[in-house]
Amino acid sequence: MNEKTKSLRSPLGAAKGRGSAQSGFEHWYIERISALILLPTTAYVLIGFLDNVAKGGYSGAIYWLQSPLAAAFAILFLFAGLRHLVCGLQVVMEDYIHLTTARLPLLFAVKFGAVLLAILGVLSIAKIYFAV
Amino acid sequence: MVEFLLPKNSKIIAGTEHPAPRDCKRPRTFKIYRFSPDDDKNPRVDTYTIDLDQCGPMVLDALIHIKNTIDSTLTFRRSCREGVCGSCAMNIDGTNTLACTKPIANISGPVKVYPLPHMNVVKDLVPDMTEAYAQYAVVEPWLKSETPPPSDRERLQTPQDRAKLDGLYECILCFCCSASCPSYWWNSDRYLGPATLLQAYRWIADSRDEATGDRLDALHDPFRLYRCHTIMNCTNTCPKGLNPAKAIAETKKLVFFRQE
Ligand code: SF4
Ligand code: SF4
Ligand code: FES
Repeated sequence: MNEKTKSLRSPLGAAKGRGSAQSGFEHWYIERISALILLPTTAYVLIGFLDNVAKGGYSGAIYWLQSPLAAAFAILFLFAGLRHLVCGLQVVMEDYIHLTTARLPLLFAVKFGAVLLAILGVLSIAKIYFAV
Repeated sequence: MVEFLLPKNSKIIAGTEHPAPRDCKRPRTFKIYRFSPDDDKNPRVDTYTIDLDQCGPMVLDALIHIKNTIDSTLTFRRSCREGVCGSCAMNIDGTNTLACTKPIANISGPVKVYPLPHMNVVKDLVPDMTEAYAQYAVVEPWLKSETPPPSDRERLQTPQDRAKLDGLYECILCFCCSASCPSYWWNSDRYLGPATLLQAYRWIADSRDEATGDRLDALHDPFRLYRCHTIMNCTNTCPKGLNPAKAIAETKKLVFFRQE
């Protein structure tokens, strides 16, 4: 540390900082729950999709996504995947980007993108499901 | 941002070579990090070749031998020389450990000795522990109880409850674990680090302590506690064979069970 920029705050004052934020559990929990949900939904969506594409190509995939169970699993997969992605990226940013003013806009962009993708995904699945 | 490269004034330059003494029977080479705050020079690595027949079996013995017979400016901390004070924590052969309990015979090739990584260096092998000690103070590492102790004896604990402190009370606060933790490297100003979190859990796990809730409150923070990503470097490096990663996981478990 540069002598000139060294703070004159006591080490204990710096370590205590602004105290504990009383959060962190939620993030940790959602990261794990979304991973748990991803396990069966990824398997189901991947196997179902590939199986039906192999059997009937494009129309096979469309036919498959028109079953309620497949559509429900696909939406769940989408939500869990995006939620997990946001959680993971947030951790990486908090680890490596120390300037809060630089981190927050990035985090906002990631969350905005994820919500946009979720809406787009649901609309697309609904479009196929209702076959308009 | 994280700094992946050393700042210019921290780049290590070549140092002095101290060749083996004449009639040396069992030569062994030590490469030791040197930094002096008293000049503007960059840190360097000095090479000392010593006769193992002239010194004891541990890395600390070699350091003391070098200081006594070759270079009295070599600076390091040590006190107990038997692994109970935690003073001699340093990075030896790429791993944070205690110089006094690390046998030279267990290392192959030249013995590389550096200060604990990612801490400011006061001089040579002496890191600045001010920040780490202040974080330790944040968890208020003492017994807190509103109930007064029995007037005629100490506070009692069942043998089962006492056993819950095994693997925790042995911690000597050497900070080898914290200095090995990537999360602590990147965020040591906000993440408490494995050493301090193990100590915090030592009081959380104590059946005589009545401040468990306050202690969990103080830790429940995305940086203070949840920066731990279970990388396990801490557990791998602890020279006392303790498991800070487990203590942290237990703390997270308690936070979980008081919400769910
Ligand atoms: S388990 Fe946690 S505390 Fe230990 S090295 Fe990993 S991140 Fe650090
Ligand atoms: S847990 Fe082990 S490595 Fe960490 S401070 Fe305690 S004794 Fe040292
Ligand atoms: S000198 Fe005390 S632990 Fe090494």
